[in-house]
Amino acid sequence: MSEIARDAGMPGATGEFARTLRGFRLQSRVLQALLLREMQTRFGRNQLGFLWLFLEPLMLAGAIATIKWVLDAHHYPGIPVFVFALAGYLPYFTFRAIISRAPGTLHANMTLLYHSQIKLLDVVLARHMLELGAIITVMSFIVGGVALWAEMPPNSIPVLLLGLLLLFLYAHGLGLLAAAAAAASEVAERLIHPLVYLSLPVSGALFPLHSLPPSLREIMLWNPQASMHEMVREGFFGNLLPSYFDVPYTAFCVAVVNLLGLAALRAVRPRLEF
Amino acid sequence: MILLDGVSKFYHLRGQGRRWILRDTTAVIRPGDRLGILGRNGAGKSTLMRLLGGVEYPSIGRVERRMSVSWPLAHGIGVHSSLTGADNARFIARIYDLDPDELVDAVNDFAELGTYMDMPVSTYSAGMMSRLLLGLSLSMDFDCYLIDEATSVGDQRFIERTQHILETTLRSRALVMVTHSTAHIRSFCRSAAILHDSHLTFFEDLDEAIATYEAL
Repeated sequence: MSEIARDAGMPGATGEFARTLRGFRLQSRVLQALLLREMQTRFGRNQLGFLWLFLEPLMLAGAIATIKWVLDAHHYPGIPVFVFALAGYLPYFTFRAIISRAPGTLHANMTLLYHSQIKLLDVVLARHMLELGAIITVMSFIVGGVALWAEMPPNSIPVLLLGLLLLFLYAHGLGLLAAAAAAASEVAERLIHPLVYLSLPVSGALFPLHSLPPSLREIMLWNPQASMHEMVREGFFGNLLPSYFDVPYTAFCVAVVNLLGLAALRAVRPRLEF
Repeated sequence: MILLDGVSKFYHLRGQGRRWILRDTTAVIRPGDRLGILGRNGAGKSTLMRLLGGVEYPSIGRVERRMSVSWPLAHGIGVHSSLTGADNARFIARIYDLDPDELVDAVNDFAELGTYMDMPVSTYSAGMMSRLLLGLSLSMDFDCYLIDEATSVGDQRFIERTQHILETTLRSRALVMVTHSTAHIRSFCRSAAILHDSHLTFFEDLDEAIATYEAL
């Protein structure tokens, strides 16, 4: 219920609340329908398509882990290189997938906006939720697999999940910004891909902050993404590898990016041309 | 009703300023109106329909919709081409909070697509597409239907069915229709407007509207 309506004792007060509730119900209905449709169009109706959702990031992360293992780049005692690489790259792949697909999401779904029930945000949200579902599922398989075969149960599932969730929300906010930027200017659209690639070295996905000198580590912690990857590693490895992260600062950055993303999407909506 | 209050719409052209679709237009579409929109190719009829449907926003002024309005029914719009007709119907039913199976049945009855209901929409002919679109929206209860050329490719039997529904079950509903067929204007509409040079001119008399349009 809105403050003003309650203070004024207006009869519309409960109406306002009911309206908000109706809005929520409508949005969740739309999101469910969009999720179903997204799965149908993306994976077709055969099972292999659905399996691909998990196989794709697993294969990519597996390939990179193998290269690192062959090159014997870094080694942390008690942590298999393969598992270390998976824990870093897998969340990063999802992060990158969300942001680089965001501009295309708008182009591909313009026809949906003809239905006034469907808002621009719903379209983006549905796709991102699918990515979140994918990463959580893939992660649970990996955590399960590592626990079984390497006999290394995760140190803390809540920390692991919190790290993933923050990373997802961060990618979601950046994805909203990317979608809005791409809709507003072609130059911005072309810049998104290289920017995402260039950000890989400073993302904190490749190496633990523990391997950096303290002065550099302090600088890296200004990047909220580095904190998130550290949290994922902390959840995985615990005391085997010291981690450095700042949850309040990271959460604050996530909130700012999301608010900016929502505002940008709202600003760009009236300018969309069909 | 749908209220257009001082609505202007323009697009930015690359380095060449603006292309005006509408200039300072004020108009009202009331419940039960049957309005035909005439205009040459590229006059902006479809843009006008998108403004009425709330899909696109006016550059200046505002569009107020105080009744439920269908999405503008035009070829391939509002459906997903890689999904089947039935899947599209289920999707739209979910969005508008209707029973998915009921909507599929209703569309089947109206559109007579037969086995094509289970084929991807991308395999549809223009006529089948318009039957699907009209089947979908006429099975749903809107106060106002926006039909953008969707009737233009229908065969005689289908046009008669559409007309029959609009004159029986949906007789109190409003209709805004874009078509180049003056015969369809005469059979579906009671008044008409011509969109020309970014001005929308209304005519109470269909003959007068059609004569003016043909003289453009």
